[in-house]
This record gives sequence, C-alpha cells and structure tokens, in this order.
Amino acid sequence: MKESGSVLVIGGGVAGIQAALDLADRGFRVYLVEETPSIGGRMAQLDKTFPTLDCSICILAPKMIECYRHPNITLLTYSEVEKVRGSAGNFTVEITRKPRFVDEAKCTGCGTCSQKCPIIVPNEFDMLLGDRKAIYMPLPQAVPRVTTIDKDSCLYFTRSVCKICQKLCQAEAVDFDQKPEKINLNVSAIIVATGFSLLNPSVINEYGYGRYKNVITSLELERLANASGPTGGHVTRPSDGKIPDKVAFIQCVGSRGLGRGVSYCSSACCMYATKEAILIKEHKPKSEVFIFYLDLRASGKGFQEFINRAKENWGVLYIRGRPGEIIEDPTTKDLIIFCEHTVRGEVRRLEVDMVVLCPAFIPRESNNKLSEKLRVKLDEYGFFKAEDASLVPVDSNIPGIFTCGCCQGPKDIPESVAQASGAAARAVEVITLTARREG
Amino acid sequence: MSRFPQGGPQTVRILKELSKRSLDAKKLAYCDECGACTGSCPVVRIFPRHFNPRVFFNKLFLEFANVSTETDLWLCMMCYRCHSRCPHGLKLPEIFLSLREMVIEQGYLQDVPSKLQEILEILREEIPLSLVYTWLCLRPGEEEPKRDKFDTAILDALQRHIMDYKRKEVAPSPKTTKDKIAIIGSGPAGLTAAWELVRRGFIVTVFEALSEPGGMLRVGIPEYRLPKEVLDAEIEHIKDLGVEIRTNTAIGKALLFNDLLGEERYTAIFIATGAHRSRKLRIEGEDMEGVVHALGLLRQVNLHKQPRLGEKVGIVGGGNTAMDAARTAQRLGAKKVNILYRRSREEMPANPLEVEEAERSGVEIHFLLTPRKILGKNKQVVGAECIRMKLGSPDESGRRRPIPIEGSEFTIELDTAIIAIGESPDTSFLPNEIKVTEWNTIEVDPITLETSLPGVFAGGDVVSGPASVVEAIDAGKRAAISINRYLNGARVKFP
Amino acid sequence: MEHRRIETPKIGVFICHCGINIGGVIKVPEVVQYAKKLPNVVYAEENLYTCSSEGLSKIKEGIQEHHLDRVIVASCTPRTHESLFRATCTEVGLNKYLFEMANIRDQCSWVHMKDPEAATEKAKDLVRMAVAKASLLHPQEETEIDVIPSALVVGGGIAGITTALCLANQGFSVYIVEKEAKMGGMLRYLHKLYPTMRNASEVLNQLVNEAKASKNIEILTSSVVKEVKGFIGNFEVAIQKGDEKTVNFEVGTIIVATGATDFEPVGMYGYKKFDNVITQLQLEQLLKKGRLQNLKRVVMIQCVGSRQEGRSYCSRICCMTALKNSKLIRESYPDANIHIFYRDLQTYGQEYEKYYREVQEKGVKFIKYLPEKPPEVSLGENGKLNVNVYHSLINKQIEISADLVVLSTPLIQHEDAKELSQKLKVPLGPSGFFLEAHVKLRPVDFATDGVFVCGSAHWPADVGESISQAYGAASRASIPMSLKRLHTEALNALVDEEICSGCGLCELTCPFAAIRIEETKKGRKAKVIAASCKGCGACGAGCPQMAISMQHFTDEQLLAQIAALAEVKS
Repeated sequence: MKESGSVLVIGGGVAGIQAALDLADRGFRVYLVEETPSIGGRMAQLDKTFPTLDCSICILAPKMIECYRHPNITLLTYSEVEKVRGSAGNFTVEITRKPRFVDEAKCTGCGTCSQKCPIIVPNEFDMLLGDRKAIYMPLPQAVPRVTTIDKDSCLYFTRSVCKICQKLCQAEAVDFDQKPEKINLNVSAIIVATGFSLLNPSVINEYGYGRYKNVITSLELERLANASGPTGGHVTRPSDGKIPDKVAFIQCVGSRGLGRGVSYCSSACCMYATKEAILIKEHKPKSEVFIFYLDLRASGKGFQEFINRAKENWGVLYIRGRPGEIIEDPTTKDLIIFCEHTVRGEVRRLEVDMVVLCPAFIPRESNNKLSEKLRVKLDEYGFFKAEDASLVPVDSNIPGIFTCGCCQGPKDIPESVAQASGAAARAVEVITLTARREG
Repeated sequence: MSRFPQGGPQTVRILKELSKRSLDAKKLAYCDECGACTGSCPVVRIFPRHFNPRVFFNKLFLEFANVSTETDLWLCMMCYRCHSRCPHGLKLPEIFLSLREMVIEQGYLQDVPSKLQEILEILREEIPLSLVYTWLCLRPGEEEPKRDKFDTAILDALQRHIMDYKRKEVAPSPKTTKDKIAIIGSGPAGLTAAWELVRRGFIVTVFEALSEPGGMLRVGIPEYRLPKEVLDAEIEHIKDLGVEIRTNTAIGKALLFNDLLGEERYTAIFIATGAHRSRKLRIEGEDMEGVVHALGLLRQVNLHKQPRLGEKVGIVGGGNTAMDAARTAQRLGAKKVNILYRRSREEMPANPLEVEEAERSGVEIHFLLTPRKILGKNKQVVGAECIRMKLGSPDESGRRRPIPIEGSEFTIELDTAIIAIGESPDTSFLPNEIKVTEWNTIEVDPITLETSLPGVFAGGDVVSGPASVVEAIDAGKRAAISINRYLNGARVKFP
Repeated sequence: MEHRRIETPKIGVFICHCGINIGGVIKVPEVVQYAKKLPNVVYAEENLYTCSSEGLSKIKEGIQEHHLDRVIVASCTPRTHESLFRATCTEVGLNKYLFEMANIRDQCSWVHMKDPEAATEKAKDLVRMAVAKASLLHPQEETEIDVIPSALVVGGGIAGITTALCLANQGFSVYIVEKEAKMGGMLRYLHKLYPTMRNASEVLNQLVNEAKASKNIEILTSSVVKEVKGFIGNFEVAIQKGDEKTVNFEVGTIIVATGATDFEPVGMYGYKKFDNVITQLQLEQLLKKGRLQNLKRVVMIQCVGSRQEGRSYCSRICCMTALKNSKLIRESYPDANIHIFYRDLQTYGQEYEKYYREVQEKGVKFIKYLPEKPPEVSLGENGKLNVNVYHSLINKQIEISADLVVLSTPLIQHEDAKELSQKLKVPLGPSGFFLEAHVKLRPVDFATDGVFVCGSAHWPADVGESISQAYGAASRASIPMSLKRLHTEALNALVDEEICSGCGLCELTCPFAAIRIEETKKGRKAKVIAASCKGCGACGAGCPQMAISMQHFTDEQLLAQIAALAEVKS
C-alpha cells in the first residue's frame, strides 16, 4: 500500500517526539520508531531541567502521552529500522518489531506481572543503580504503558520454568511465542533523532570511576535525585547510603582533549552540573558543592543568571581547573581530589564525600549501522553530519532525510526541540515539492 | 608589572627552535591551562613555591618569561604523570629536556654551575637526596647521541658538588626527644623520612634487608643511570646527621616486626620496604634454566655480580623495569634483545623517554603479543611459544584489555627469557593488625599514610605499587610530618 | 448569573481497580456501595480496568441501559485518560463535557499506600465531590474558527527570510516586513561567516534573491508594523510603509524575526576616545573592505558590556566572532600578534571547539582576565595603545602594546522591540529579548496562539542556530495554517455583559491576549476571543465585578464540590 505524505521518525526522545507531534498535528501520518520499550529518551531520565528547575518527566510526559494518543502517530517501540530504500518522496522502510512477549493491545499496564516476577536485575533506565524485574516497565510513566519481557534474564527463557506472569495476567497479554515481526512502510521523508550516549568515564582512569564507589556520573546523580529513582529521591552515596556533605563535580571528563576521550565540548554540562549542584543544595542546604570547570559555558537564555544564582544564593563554589587525580580513603571511602586552582595558582587537596563526573556526550554506537542503512554521512566523530551545518542545519546529504537533536552533536533541550520542529518543516517542504512535481 | 615581551627576542628564538625539536612543543599551543599537570605532579607537592609546570609553559608560550633563568626548568623529574593526565597528551618532560639542552648548548645559560648551585639549594631545603634527584632529572651522559656541551657542563658541575659533599663535615643533629623511630627500608621513601625526622630531633634507625642501603636506588636503577658514587655520598651525609642504618637486617627474619614495638621500644614505625617481588607469568616452562626475573637481574648487576646471559634475550613486559633490563642485557653482551609486550605502544606503562632510549640503543619492541609457553631442551630455555593479541574494550585501569587471537601462535628462539611484568610488595612480615589490599599493598590513610595500626605508617612502593623516585620522596616527607604530629600528641590528620 | 435549571441528572459511576494499583489498597466494592447511595447516582459498578475495551463497553452499556446523562470514572489521572473516556461518551451520544473524573489512584492508593482505611475513605470523598460537580455540569459546544493560510514575518534578516521561504515552499503566502530599506539584517554588516568562512554577502544574496523570486512571498521594505488586531487565524495587520502609505492585510500567523543590534561601548576601554579602539562589527567592515593597515599587534577584549551589572547575560556569539576575525587577520598578516582577553570561551559543540583549536594553531594567544580586574587601555608615548591586564592564570599584571584594540560587545534588543511586543501582545524577558511560551519545550512559540519567534529576537544566535529556529517557527506556524480550521476546547471564560463594567482589568491580566474591551450597544464590555482563550481563569479571578466565570469550572460547580467535601460523613 502506498501512503503518501507520511514520515518516519527514528528515535523517541524529546527531539523525535517533537518532530512527530508537529508533523502529526499537520495531518501527516507519522511512524515513530524507538528501540527501547518506551519513548522518552534521555530527558525522561533527568530529574529537573535548567534554568527553571521544572520537573523533567512532568513536562515531558504529556508530550509522550500525546504521541501515544495522536490518531496520526503510529508508535513502534522496541523496534529497529532494518532496511531503507528509495529516495525523497518515496522511501520504503523495513522495520523489525522485537518480540516483547507481551501483547501491546491487551496489556493494561497494571503491573501485577512485574510485582510477582521472581527475577530482579539492574534497571538500565536507572543507570543500573536501581532494580527492575525480568518483566518490566522501564519507568512508571512508560509510553506505551505496557510491560516487556527481558529474554536474557527471564526464567522461562533461560531455564524453561516459571511463567508466573502468564498465569497471573488477567488480560492474557503475556505471549512467550511472540516472534520478531517485520513491517514494511512507505514514507516520503525520514527524520533521524536518535540522540547520544555518554562516554564511560573509566577511560579517564585517574578519576577512579568503576574503582571508587562514590565516584558517579551526572546521569546517575539525576536518577538518585529523582523521586521515582532507586533511592526515592534521596541523594545518597553508593558506598554507605550516607547523604553527602561535600560533593565535587568535574566537567569535561573525557572531552575537550586531543588525547584521551573526545576533542569537542559537550555543550550542556556546565549548565546541568550547576542544576545538579543546586539540587544537592536543595536536598541538603548545608552541604558544600564544588564545580571544577575550564570555561563556564552559559551562553543560553537565562543561563548566566542561573550560574550567578548558584554562586550567590546557593553558595556553589566554582574552581577553574581540571583535577589531576582522585584517591579514595580505603576506610571511609571519602575521596581526595588533587587539583590546581588555576586562577589562584594554588595546588590543593580537596576532601569530599562524593564526586560526580560529567562525561562527554558521544555518538550512539548504532550510528554506524544506521548511517549505512540510510546512506547518510557521519562526521569525523561519528555524529550524523549536516550537509551544511550553518545554512541547512537539519538536512543530511541524502535529500528527504533530515537529522535533529543530539544525534547531530551535543545540544541542550530547547535547541533540540527547535531543531526537531525545523526538521519537521523541512520534511513537509520535501513532501510538498515532490507532490507538486508529481501532480 | 611585565612589559610585553619580557622574555625578549631570546625567548622568541628559543621557542622557534624548540618547536623544531619537539612536536609536543608545537602542541603547547593547544594548552587550555587546565592545571591537570600541576594538579598531578609529585614535584609540585614537594616544591609548591618553586615549581608549576602549567605556569612555566604558559609564560614561555606567551613570551613573558626569560626561560633560562626560571628555576622551574630544572625541577621536573620526568615521572610522566602529567603526560598521562594531560587532556592533549602533551609530553611536558620531553619539552623540559629539550629546553634544558638548548639553553646550555646554545649558550643561553652561561653560568651552569651557579644555576645548579641555586637548584641544589632549593632541593636541599626540602629533600635529602638532592644530588640523586638532580642526576636522575638531568640524566648527564645518558642520552644518545651524546650531548657534548650539556653533558660536560652538567657533569662538571655535579662532580664538584659531589666532592663538596664528601669533603664537608656534617655535625649530627641534636637529639631533642627520647622517641625512637624505626624505618623499615632504606630506599628513597625511608631515607627521606629518616632525614626529616632526625632533623626534628628524633632518634632514627633504618633497617635494611640487603647488604647495602639505598633500596631501589641501589639495586633497581642501573649504574649507567645513577652512579653509585652519587648515592653513596648522599647516604653518608644522612648517616652523618645521626641516622643509624642497620644493613642485613630484614624485619621478619633478623628481627620481628612486633619486637620493634615491644622490646625494642620504638614509638613509631615507618614501613618503606618498596615492591621487590617480581610477578610471575604463570605459564609452562617458567622454572627452567635461563628464565630470570628482571629485578633479580638488575639487583645482581648492581651488587657487582656478573650474571651470564645468552645471546638471544627476550624480555616480557612493558614497564620501566623491562627497559632497564633490556639495556642492561645489552651491556652484559646480549646480541639480540627483544621486548615482548601484550598491548600497544599507547598503553605501555614505561616512561616514553626510556622506551625511546631503549629503541635507539637497538632494543626491538614487539607489540600485541605474549608468551604462552617457555620452550626448553634439557631444562634449558631454547625459545617461547607466543600468541598475538588484539585490544578489546577498556578494563578497570582505563587501558584497553588485550585479547589473544586464537590460532595466531608462533615460536621464537631465545637463550634467556627475562620476566618484567611488574613487581609487588612483600608484606608477609607484617602483623595481622596491618591491613593489606588484594594487590598486597599496605592500606593507609591516603593523606597521613597511617596504617590500620596506630603509630605505624607506610609509604612509597609498598603502598602505591611500583612508582617513581619522586613519589617515594614525597611519601617519605608526608610520613615524617604525620609521625612528628603523632609523637607530639597532635591529631595525625589535619584539615 | 443566569441559573439554568436542569432536570434531575442521572449519574453513573465507574470505579476502576487498575489491577492492583487501586484495588490492592482501596476497598473498591465498598466505594461502589457508597457511590450508589449518593444523590442523583442511578448506577455504579466496579471494573478491573475501566480503560480496557471491556471497561469502555461497560460505560457505553451503562449510558444506554440506564439512560445516564452524566458519567464519572474514578480511576487514574485525567492527564492520560480523560480524552479516552470522553471519546467513549461521545460515541454513544453523550456530550463530552458531561464526563467527570476522580483520581483515586495518584491521590489515594499511591500516596496513602500504607493506610488502606484512610485511602478508601478519601476515595469516597473524591467520588462524592465528583458527583456534586457532575450534577451541575452542562453540555458545551466547541468553537471553530477559520485560519487564513498566510503569515506575517516581521524582520527580513537571515531568520525571517528562511522562515518565509520555508512557509512559501509549503504553499502559504507570506509577507516579510523589514524596517530597513534593504533586506538582510545583521548579515549585511558581516564579512565572513564562521565556521564555513563563506562570504556573508553571498549567502545573503542567494536567500534574498530566492525570496524575491518566490511568488508566495511579498516583501515590504522600509516598513514597520503599525497595528495588529485579531487572534490566531485571523490577524488584521496594518503596516506603515515609508512615511505615508499604510498597507492592510490579514494573516493567520505571525513570526517575529526582528533580530538584535550590537551594543555600542561608549566610554569603555577608550572607545571613541582613541582612534584604534573599535568594535568587532566595525572590524568586520574593515576586513570586508580590506582597509586594515599592516597589523603588528592586535588585542581583542571579550564581554565588553556583557556579563556585568546591568547586562548580566552572555551574548553567545562574540567568542566565535573574535576567533573568526583573529583567524582572518592571521591569514592576511601572518606576523600579527593577536591576544584575546577572554573570561570564559564559548566554543561549544564539535565544530566550534575544533575551530578554536585551529585558531590556537595559528598562534593566537589567549589571556583570561577577571571581571574584578578588567583590562585598561591607554595611549602610549609612541602613539600606540597600551593594554594593561591582570593575567589571572599566571598571576601577573602585564602590559601589551597594540596597533588595534577590538571590543567584543554583546547583541542587545532593538529599541523598538517594546513597541512591537505591545502590539503583538507578546512579552519580553528580563534581558530584553522576546520571551517564549516555555523555555524548554516551546522555544519558538509564544504563549499567545498564532505568534512565533526565531533568531536573535529570541536570544543571540549565530547563522546556523537562527536557521534551525526559523525552520522550527515555520513548522509551528504551518500547523494551524494547514489545518485551515481550528477548534478549541470549550473551557473558555464567559463574560456576563449585564454585570461587566468595562474596566479593562481582564484585558491587562490575560496572558494570552484572549480578552478585549469592545464598544457595544450597552457600552464598553469585555469580549472573550474563544480561539485564544485557554481557560486559565486569570481574568475571572481578577474581575472586581465577578462578571467572569469559567465554563466547566463555574463557581457554582466548584462551590458544590467544596460543600460536598465539607459535608459531615453519614
């Protein structure tokens, strides 16, 4: 069946959601493909957003639900793009829906199955700090609100026993025989919005991530600070559950270097670290918070003022310098940071309870494969390359395929959202032009 | 106030020439002044007022400094810690080295002896091993090709200082307390602590297991890198101050650890026994004739024995000890010296300078392979079966993990195999109250260096695992500060 | 207020177990029995999942069999499920505004998980309140409006032209209003664009020509917006062209792309006092015209007039501008020494950081100064400029002589922006830039429907960012224009003209420009623009005459709910 005027959006984060909603509101059919069980992306993992300190999931969830309910949007979660052929105005796309072993149409999201499932594994959504079951919803606000069975940990799949979820499901939604399903689509344009990954900071081994329990990443902190996160919103340190009195943030971990890690700047870290510093202060006003930085990059709207507030009202201390190393006190698990306060030319030894690393934003591993399928170019770092970043910032080298958000490179949320709308507009231009040419 | 450019045309010329000599000097343009170098530098910790590599290079780059007169230039000890921390991977030690050579060879620095005098005075204020430090730092006579003017100037100046040292009468430090301190190990950490404490009026005894004091400085560093004469002069000086060094006295054998606190009535102990135990490969054939451990080899040579090596020598490992062993093997007459390392050049723990020197002197380094089996005939090594490796994802240390490529096995011919895959401390003599980590190092408070047993401190390689001389000196100083506080009844830990 | 009498309502209540989410804590059967006894309730039942297809058919059956004219579902949150239940009611002919919801999951079983008794009692309270309100619900009709498929773009710079072209290519007609005689905005004054180093004029000419060639675009230069009346879909615009002529037309949407202007640093660092102290924008001109003398030493000072008292923001584009211009100078004069005095370099992302490395390679030197110890510029004896600065990273006061000192000044809002914001009824933020509807999720929308923003009018932006936003604004504006008809939820404010005194307080209060005072036969009266009204209630709360009520949330309904809550439980 040929559908004209439809668009494939790859990636269900805030950029993909915005592009899908704009197009759907205009009356186009949109297929929103997301590889994980729920849409929401990175923004859903955040606790609050800068500079307004809005609760992240609270402002995102309505948009997620709108995608789910929109008559013009077909949500294809737990799905991947397999093949793409054709050209602008007429792409054929093959998509695989991975078996989630739960019938999406029947599942009511009641959660009985997850409650009774005997298998507990770390939850990827909580950066492995919290647990989930083998049959699970990654987050309480998951869209679609259905569970998924993780085949690798499920007792039935690993040892052919249990099936307790199937027995208990009153909606009869559990289906262990589900097979991967291939879907063929015909779309006029494609928008790539697959987002980014974070560098594993153990590469910068002198900071001890992976060796020292109380060295965590910023995204882990977001989950710790979040009320629906693994600690119920208590920012506690992993070694002993103590609420830290002294916390240090380190910027540019694995970024802005021509040696290890990546050479570019991840754009959002100065601001989110400041936000996280304020969150820690909100949780415990007497705590001391330090941010090690190189250049404070606060050029967005209201950002400098936000940093000024952090300094003046919250007493967040900014130290210019990249720490040389961190060592752990083997008994207390406190951390000692060796650093130079470069503005004072002073070598310091700072003892803290917890260190939060702000690692580089890096391209998704899947970018290579996806770019091959789409014939779209990647830049030297592995992000999706804009054909001309300054003049047509959302166009790829292939007409009819557009990119937006962090799959192009590090960005903050409003930039991603504006760009997503922009990609939607360009997609409509293509559809209009091809329709004009054909008719 | 400095008027631009303070350094003047001389600095501009030096900079230009420097960038021709060293690629990394060109890369100085990328420096963002992040301070990771300064923040991780052990020299900065000892000489915070005299050394700041970041500021030094910044001034140089901005042409605000008269390079040849800055004392910073002469203090870098080449531990390469900054290199591994620098986000751009700059090899600051090499830039220091090139700069030093330039200012002497090109005549920018006219009066070398008084500059050295100035440096030595700075060093002597803080550390006992100032000559050893300077020797290891300036590497006179060691570089290839020989740097005539540089080496002559430095050697001349240093020789004179050694003579001065030997001539000078040193009055023993007055004893102001009755507290007796035992220091186990006479390496750089132990000697530094002894020097600091004896000057504070304590009674200090150093216990050394070997027949001669100096620890790794004596048995780990080959003569061509540090003449024994230099070391002896310094140790004499320390002894003259009133430190008693008891050689051939291994704690745990000659004397029990608990006796130090008991019958011997020492009120504080500093453990600085280093890391002298060679790690084993744990492969077939390791116990054959012709398999030696690098440290054992270096020790024998340093204690004036002449070990016999074959013509074809293979060294397993990629650290500084492997490099020293390779060059020592050459000096012992080996015709062909090969180093086998399981990862790639990037992951090599050895000092890049040492690697370069080894390669320049004809040592061949083979990357991404490891021996699987030592082959022998009549219990005598004849070769090794090796397998090629590839690099996987990073492990805990942040380095990429080597993975064997099955089916890539091949054999090489060898007369001698030298194992240099790392050293670990021997902590078997310690009482159970002193906590030891899974790597067999002593667990200490990272700032005070106090162990889990009050009054007992530890530092140097026995805590950190194999590290540089300057880190050991730093540990010795810090231990002395803590011991002083401990014996004076102050809180050991200070804010 | 008019009291519409209704016949005795017939209310049906459906109470959801939500699997164990509700049923695991609350005694649902008990709540059902309780609901049955409430006034006007003729039917009540429990469902395992009211939202399942089975549950939904139960609602429909209930309406038909029991002739229900009000439906209440006590379950989860209306945020996720209200529209589903409303649609179900509509399917069997019940007006969707006769549906009411009680959230007994979030507000009872979840928050009082450990106290099932109290949770059950609270669920009863919520159901009782819902019943009290439902009895007073009225059916509502939703308003529909036509949308004129054309747009007004205010500002003919890179953002305005881009958004206009994007809309024109989609078939909408667009008016571009530019106050200058020539199109192009800020780009007219620039030499080259970073990071591509393309000529600004080439880029601009191509776009201007495309816009001129487009038959869907009408360009009005030397023109300003004189007056705007109306609301989304139907804005009546009056444009003042030149001195006398006024042009009138109607558009469905408006996009603000007025850009920004640069700050003139009079009295700072010897600007206007010494000849060779200029701004980056002036440097662009000199570079463009090739009028630079052979340069030996150049000093650039960043953050001149920004990130300080009175203008606290960072202007985002100045660091890259300085880097670009210093690179151009080094390329023309390889011997020129360039020092950039900066505070925090804004070379974010991949491209700009890479650009920064290239500039470092070119030998440009960077000196970090502190705002509390700013550089000083003075005239030396030799007629050269001396710049004195405290180098914060080497802890030293230094002096550099310079042939040219270039000041990087921030982009600031145009003086006439205030006027435009008042005409369009859209706000300006604290830094003077136009304030969007939501800083995170609605970056190019205004709170006022049908009006959008992009480019430096919103916040200092470079070419790539302006273009991204321009496309974004085009997308947002195209939605109502392509739908051609809009219908809005009937949650509007309702003015009782009998009571309204026409004081105009509501017009001032309304954040959406949705209420306006008009002359009627009865005098000045407030009039609600249904298409723009969001039913927020600000006007109603503020009305001194109590002449405004909110449909679907009338005082009567709310008071009934409160009364029901206060009722002594029997």
